[in-house]
Amino acid sequence: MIRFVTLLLLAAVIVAVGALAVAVWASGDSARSGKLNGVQKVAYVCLFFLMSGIAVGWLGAD
Amino acid sequence: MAQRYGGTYSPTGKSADGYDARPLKATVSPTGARSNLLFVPGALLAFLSFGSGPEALALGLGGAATWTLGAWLTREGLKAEAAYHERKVARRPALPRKILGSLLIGGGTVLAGMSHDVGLTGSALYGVIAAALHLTAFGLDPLRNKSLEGVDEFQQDRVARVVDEAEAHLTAMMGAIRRAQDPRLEARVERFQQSVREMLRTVEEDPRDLTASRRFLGVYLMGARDATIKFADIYARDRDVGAKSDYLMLLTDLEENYVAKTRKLLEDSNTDLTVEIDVLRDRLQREGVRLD
Repeated sequence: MIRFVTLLLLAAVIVAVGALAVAVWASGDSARSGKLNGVQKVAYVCLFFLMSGIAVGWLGAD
Repeated sequence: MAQRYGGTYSPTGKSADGYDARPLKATVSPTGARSNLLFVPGALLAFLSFGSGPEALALGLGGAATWTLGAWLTREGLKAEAAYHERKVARRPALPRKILGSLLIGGGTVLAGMSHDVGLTGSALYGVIAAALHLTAFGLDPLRNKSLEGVDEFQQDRVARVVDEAEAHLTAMMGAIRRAQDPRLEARVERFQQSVREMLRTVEEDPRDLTASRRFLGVYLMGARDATIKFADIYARDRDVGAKSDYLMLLTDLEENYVAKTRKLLEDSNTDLTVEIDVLRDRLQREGVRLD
């Protein structure tokens, strides 16, 4: 169980650091146009479906 | 031959009280559908939380409220970022709204997951992923002040303050004229604002122009705002044609003055450049360097 939680936390940290790196990269000159780049579009779609999935109950514990 | 679009009832269309042929600068909303869509999952969660017991209801409503606050902060953050990029001299937003939005979206996801019995660990993981995706999709807020190279920082701060005040007057003006519910008047005010913003950009580029344009960016703009508020109240009440005509004439006069002043400021900058070039040429000639 402890190993499982550790793995989850590790995955969370990796995802967060990756997102921060992409966010810093994306907040440069390309952000001035106000348009999303490819990575941002994919992240946005994933976020929307993640939030909707949890709200509706499609994403469970299993 | 191509013709400008605009019928009798379009905001920039021809009308009996004059037709302004100058193009209106198009502005794109910095928020768009992407931030507005983020309000949908919150509404879904709030709606679906009913009927699952008191604990799930409390967690669900908490999650929905957190998501809604996060979506709202994201939208405000996008607006602040667009305003930051539009200016040449700008201070960073006082509150990093997009970053806070990411944290709230993450927190809301934890609550939403727990309301569906996902468990704390699973919910926490979903929360981190949601916050990371939000951060990736919307990026960070501007974290540094923006300034021009070689210009005194104190002067730039002064300019930034005056620009902030002028923008506040312009926003109030637009808010007031919307009450009049006349698209043609809104387009007219927008065009006037365009000429004011040209002056603002000119002053940002050369803060020495601030002294010369201070009255235009303060007193006159405040007067224009007050006149707009009064006119909007009168026009919304009884559609007074005389008041509309007076107001449009005031805007035209003001706009002409703003355009003339901006042109004068630019001419002064050109004179400064000519003087600098002449001085440099003289010095180089004295040093014996030939310029052809």
